[in-house]
Amino acid sequence: MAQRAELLPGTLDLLILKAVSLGALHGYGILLRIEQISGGALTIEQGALYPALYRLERQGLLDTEWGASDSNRRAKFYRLTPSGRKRLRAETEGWNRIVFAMAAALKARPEEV
Amino acid sequence: MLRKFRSLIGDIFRRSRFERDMTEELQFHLDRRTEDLIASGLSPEEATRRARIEFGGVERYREECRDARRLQPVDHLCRDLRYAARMLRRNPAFTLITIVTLALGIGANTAIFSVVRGVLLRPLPVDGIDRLVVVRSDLPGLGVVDVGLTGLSTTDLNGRRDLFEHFGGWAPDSYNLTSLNQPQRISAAQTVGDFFEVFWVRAHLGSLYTPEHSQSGRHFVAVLSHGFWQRAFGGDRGVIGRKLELNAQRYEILGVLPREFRYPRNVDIYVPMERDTRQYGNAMAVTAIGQIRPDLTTTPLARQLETESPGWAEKYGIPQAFGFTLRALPFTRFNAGQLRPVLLVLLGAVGFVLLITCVNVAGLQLLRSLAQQREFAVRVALGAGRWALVRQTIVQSVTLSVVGGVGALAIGLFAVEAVKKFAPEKYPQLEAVDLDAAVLLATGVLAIFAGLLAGLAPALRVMRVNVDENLKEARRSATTGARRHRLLSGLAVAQTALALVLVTGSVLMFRTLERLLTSDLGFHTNHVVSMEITLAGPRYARSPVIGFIRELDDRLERGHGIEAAGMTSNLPLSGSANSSPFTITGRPDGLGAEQRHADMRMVSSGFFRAMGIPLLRGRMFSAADIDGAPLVCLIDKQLAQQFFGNEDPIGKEISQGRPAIIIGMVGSLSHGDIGRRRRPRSTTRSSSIRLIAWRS
Repeated sequence: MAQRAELLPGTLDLLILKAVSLGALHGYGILLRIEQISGGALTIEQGALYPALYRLERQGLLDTEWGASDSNRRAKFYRLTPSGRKRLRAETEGWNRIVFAMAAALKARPEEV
Repeated sequence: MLRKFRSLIGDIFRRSRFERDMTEELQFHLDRRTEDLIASGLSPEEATRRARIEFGGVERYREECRDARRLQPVDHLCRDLRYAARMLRRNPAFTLITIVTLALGIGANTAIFSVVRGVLLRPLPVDGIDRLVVVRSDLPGLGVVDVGLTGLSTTDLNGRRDLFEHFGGWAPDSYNLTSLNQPQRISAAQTVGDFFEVFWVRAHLGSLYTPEHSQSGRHFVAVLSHGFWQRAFGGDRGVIGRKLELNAQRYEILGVLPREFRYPRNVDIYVPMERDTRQYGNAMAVTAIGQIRPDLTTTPLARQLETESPGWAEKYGIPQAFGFTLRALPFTRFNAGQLRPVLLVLLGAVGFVLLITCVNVAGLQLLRSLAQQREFAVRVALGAGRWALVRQTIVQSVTLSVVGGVGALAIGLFAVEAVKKFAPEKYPQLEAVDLDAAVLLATGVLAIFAGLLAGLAPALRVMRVNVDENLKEARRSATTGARRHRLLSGLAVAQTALALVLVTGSVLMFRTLERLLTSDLGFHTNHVVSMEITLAGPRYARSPVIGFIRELDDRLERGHGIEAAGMTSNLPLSGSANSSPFTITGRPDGLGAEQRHADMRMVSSGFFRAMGIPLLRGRMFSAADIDGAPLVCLIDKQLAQQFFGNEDPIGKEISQGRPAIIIGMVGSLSHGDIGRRRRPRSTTRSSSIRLIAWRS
């Protein structure tokens, strides 16, 4: 079993936006996509996904539509809005900067200080 | 923004659809997860269980979803209200008792507050009533305090634009109105200065007279109160310019006042006070009211008037020794008079009643919430936040108190009607009492406040619900029992303490009342009845009046069931006093030879017997004292002690306008207000008699 990490606060939104940016998905599909793209390394309590989705929808970053799932059941599909796409880009950049900075900081050796 | 708003509105109105969609969405998730787990080789039962565990508390996430959509407040409130309604319906006995308790507690406050509002806060429907001040005069050197101003000084203060925007006043009077179908007595206010301007009042019809109409000759003009206009003229708009015969003088009707303006209370007609008369210049009978300048407040104004008082005294020839002082106080306070302390005490008392009510209701709710412990515990275990439970408890409590508040309004309405119906004539201020918007608002606020307060203890209890213990259905442990006990006994202690305060207060109030009722007024109050007549004006020249009075006196004395009858110009405790200066012949006293004050009333010889006032020295009036004989008078014991000391007053001559020889001394009367200092008075014999008292 791969080693699992708790999500950092605030990262769930980013992961959802990323997952949905690859195509419209229902809630369970988003969960699977996140597990897939993170290589199963990130876990969340599954229920926690939904408050986040509702919040992003309210913020106008996600659009929803009821449609038929692959098993032909009615399901609610989430899709990225233009402002959601913009947000994803901005957050990704911010995230990368932090990761870079953190990595650099943690690599620092005594003689570099 | 608009989109957000629209979606919010949409969600509020399609609440059930939102819930249905959410349920379906979450169920879809759980079902798909279960299917996937089965596919990975788990048994259906195990898969269902695992899917639920992985998902976490469904109830909690549903709640968070609602939060995320910011539907929380509206949504929660609706749900809590529904829940509260359900719980209350399920326990009708509890619900009824709490609601009735709250209705009584809040209702007492509604009733008293409507009286406080009508009497203390807004006795007249005038905006800026808090900018009105009343100016009174004190003459401590004479033992005379809290009397009005003269017409002259009222006019002078009306000239002080540095202090007042407008200044005016009124003195009570009454007339015989003879130009209408039937002769009738009407009550009047003689006004001085900018009386109408002070109250921002405009004519409903016609126009109002001005201070210039006080000039002799121009003063035969009148303004009607709305009530009198309706009663006497049936609201005829043609009354303007018509003549009224008052005490056989013709007055022209200039205008009619608006319905809302009812000050002074029960006045039918307003006439200007004639200038250059004795009443205008000397009698301190004017209730003087000023509209204070916007840049001033009552306190500096009062200080300014006090500083100026010696100057005014000098101007009016009042000896310094009398300590003449002008005193300003808020109009609302003056108008409330003796009702003010009583009302404030009552307000405090009903406040305590409400506190006790809250404690009672808190106790009731607490007992009931103990019965609900298990339910609460289950809901906490299912993921309901404690905050949600607290909120629910409080919503339930407030629901109860708001329903109680509606009952309180009914009680308040009933009380207001009762107050109006049974108000003693002495307190016409009570007529302004009404259940208006402010009272409604106050009741609402009070109801919500009471609900919050009464919900506090049960809410605290809910915060501490012990999930484990309650779910295990173990016997209630000693610790929870003790804690519960502590809260309940705390409430009991609070209740007892509050009740004690209330009981002590009631006893004290009762004692005060008892003392007032049994205080020695100086005359009998039992089996004494009175009526009022006016025989004034040119039609009643001196001799017919004397004849009329003599005959009336005779007939009353011989009347069936009447023990004694007499007449007086001012009935004791009637509130009307005629305080004016007098001199003692042959005693300049270095006090400027003038300005000794005493209340004077004219009486018939039967008056003292009818009122049960004892003759202490000298003799009563006799038949020989009438007409042509030298004027004689009686003085009361207090006047004798104050101005004659050890000297025998009998045979001395005093003069209040006309000299009169003192023939006797009678017991002192309590004047005006019970419980206040008595004022010395003299009593003379004269013709213009206005009041009769007889003893049956």
